[in-house]
Amino acid sequence: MTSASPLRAIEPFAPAASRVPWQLWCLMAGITSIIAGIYWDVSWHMSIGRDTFWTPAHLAIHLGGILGGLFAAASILPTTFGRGPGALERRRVSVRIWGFRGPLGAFVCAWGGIAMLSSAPFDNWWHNAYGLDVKILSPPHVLLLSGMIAIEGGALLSILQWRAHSAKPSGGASDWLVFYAGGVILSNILLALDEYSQRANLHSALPYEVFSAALPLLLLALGCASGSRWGCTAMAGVCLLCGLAQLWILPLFPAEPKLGPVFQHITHFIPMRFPLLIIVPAVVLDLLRARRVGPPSQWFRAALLGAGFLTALVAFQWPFASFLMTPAARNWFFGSHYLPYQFQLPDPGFPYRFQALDKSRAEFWIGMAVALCLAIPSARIGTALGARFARLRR
Amino acid sequence: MKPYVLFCFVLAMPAGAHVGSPDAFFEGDAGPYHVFVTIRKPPVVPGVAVFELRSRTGDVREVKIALGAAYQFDEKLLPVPDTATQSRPDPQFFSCGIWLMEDGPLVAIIQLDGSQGKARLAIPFTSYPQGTLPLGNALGVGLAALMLFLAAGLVSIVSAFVREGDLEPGALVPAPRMRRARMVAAASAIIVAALLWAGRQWWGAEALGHRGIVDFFQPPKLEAALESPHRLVLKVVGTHPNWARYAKRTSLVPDHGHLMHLFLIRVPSLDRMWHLHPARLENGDFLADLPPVDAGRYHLFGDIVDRNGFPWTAVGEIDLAATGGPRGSADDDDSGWAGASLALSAEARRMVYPLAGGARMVWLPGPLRAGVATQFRFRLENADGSPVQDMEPYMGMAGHAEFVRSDLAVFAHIHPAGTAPMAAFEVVRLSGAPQPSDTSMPGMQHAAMTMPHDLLSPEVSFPYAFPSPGTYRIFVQVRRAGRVETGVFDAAVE
Repeated sequence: MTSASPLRAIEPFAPAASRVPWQLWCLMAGITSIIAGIYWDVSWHMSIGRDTFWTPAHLAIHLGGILGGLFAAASILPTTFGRGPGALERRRVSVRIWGFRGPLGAFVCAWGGIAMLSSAPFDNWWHNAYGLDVKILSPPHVLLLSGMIAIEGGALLSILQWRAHSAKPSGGASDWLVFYAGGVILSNILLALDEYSQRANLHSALPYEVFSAALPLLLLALGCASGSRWGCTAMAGVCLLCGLAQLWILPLFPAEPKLGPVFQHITHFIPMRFPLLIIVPAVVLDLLRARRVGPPSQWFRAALLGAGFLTALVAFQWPFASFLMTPAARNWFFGSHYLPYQFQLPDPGFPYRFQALDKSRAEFWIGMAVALCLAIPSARIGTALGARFARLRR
Repeated sequence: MKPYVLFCFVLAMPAGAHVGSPDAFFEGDAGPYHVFVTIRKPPVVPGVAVFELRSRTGDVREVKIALGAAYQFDEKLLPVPDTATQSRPDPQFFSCGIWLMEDGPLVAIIQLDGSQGKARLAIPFTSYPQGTLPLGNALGVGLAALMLFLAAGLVSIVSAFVREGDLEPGALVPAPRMRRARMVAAASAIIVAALLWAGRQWWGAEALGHRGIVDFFQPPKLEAALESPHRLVLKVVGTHPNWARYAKRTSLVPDHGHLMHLFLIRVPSLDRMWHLHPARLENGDFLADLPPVDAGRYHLFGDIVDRNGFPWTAVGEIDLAATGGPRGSADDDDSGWAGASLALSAEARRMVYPLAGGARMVWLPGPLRAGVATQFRFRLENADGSPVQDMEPYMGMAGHAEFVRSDLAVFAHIHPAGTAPMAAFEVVRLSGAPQPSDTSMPGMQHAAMTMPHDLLSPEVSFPYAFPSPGTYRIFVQVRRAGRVETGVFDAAVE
């Protein structure tokens, strides 16, 4: 059936309760478990090394996957097969995929759970074929990361969908849950891009090209979806807090390497490095998207947003990276002195020197121009996606 | 590692002082304990190596193993050791799986505790990937099906988002929206297909990178050319471009006083064998003064050890015409053997080899099964059966043994202490591994300082396991009264 029915369309719809349902709290617990598990797992590999499926960090990640999968099943199955007025109400705010009905967020969570499951045999084969991939970005890990990010994205969509039908559609816990889910997604993406955000490379063009391609899209899509004027800032703030929390909390716990050879003496968990300062460009994006300046062209706005993002990021991250190289940053607060146990230093000053990825100044500026060119379509797509997410009803 | 994985692995001929024989073996004393250690290497790195230890003295209660870098030993940097599992039916047998995380020369620090107190032992060994596991049909189809399912799911989700995502409750989908959703689905399908293609390219690049590491550790080529009828110039060339860069940065260290141990074996009959010690030229090549050799095609194995303690065996071939007359400069340690062709029949296991002056070398029986680690024991007897009394060290060792498979895909140069060259033990010692005299390390015995037997003993043994079935020839070399004697034994291994 492809035509709208005016009778069905005007039937009254009972708004959801203003209290956040427990299923969504479970999903929030799931994405918290995922992001905590990833930070823990990366730290585990940098501090202890000995790896099995049953490490607590792996269990935390998979607990998040299970909670996401259960949420999807609990949302889709009763909506598809349920009888009675409750099921009917649910079906009216659902989408249909392959004969199943449910909220879009639940389908995204289901996809994420299946992707996480699929990555397990792939990863196992990869370890047997090429050896344990002790890095974040490898084909099976990207599949796993896609699954995790999908569950986090599904969580965000589920909150947006619930909020759209809530008796109290904005403010309070629902807004904070949106910010939180968005911040977790950002944290996960930044974690996936970690190999590009190494401190030593932050005076080269490549990291800024990668960030310009990915981050305006994400920040704007999430920020616009939140419906809040400070959505980008709030989510980047959550992301910053996640990064700082792992930096400050993990080293409180003792750990020692269980694999050799060991090149750095480790007594406590080694966290990931100080987080990227994306909160600054996030503030700039929020300020720019609130202002109606210039012609109403979407591409002009995207150019403004993209340029604003890149300028703000470079203006703050560049000098901050210089600071992180100094002895003043070698403390618990900034954590520049943390080195993984397997890090073999060519010389003691190596971790505190920039490594130029660009062969010449011209190459650097060409790279930065490419970054600007990437930031603009990224911002354009992000704005468009965010606007659609903000209208989500199902 | 599951057994099927081992069988279907695409194994290359790995390097590491030996060819086609990746596992490491050691026999020696750790303080009061006499132990036999086997290190079964994983096919890939990082991967899990299986360490097996058997105590010959019968009173070890606990074995712990930790790994370090061979060339950068630091007591403070040792990881928490793994505790080996003690076999219940065989209490003096311990085994333990340990992750090898790095390629290159490593050292295993083995701690023993037993009725005679604690003791430690440092054993150098090498770590390198040997090949790549091909994607099996069943797994490949399964993964492809999952990928297709996920791709289709993703396209359907995007399509549903566009079609119904912002519809008010209960509203039906307008026809134009359906058309738009189909177009978006088609566009998403193209994007997802492009992503899958990019992922496949990335996978290919990763596999190529891994292949490069495997190639790096392949035996280098030994390019040989005759400078004159008696002079052989040898150039060691890696099979991977990075090898040349590595070789430029890395000097060689002498093993038993020689930078290269060159073995010339006439093929296909393996009926001539020379063990020579070429000199290093200024340009990095080697120069060997040839003894009077018989004409034929010779397979070359050149053992060298780099300064990190990593042993390499370079492999080459050359056709030689018969040479006669005196050599330009003979080395006292050079030796040779000429005899019968390799016996390919399974019944041809010869247990006694006649030596000069009526003496003989006797191979004491042991298991002949691939993968079974054992002591290969040889006793030297006079004509009347009494043990010989004139054994001398040959290049500092009681003996040297070369295990060669008939197709030359396996070559292993073994000493009584095992597979590691003495130069690797020396690198470990110089890197700061504690010495027996170091009172802060009670019971620490450095493997290089221990010999399983008195050097003058008429019996010599070599810890080893045939890596695979086939017909092998074993050359056992000892020095008696200033003269090097070679005993030759053939074995059909199941």
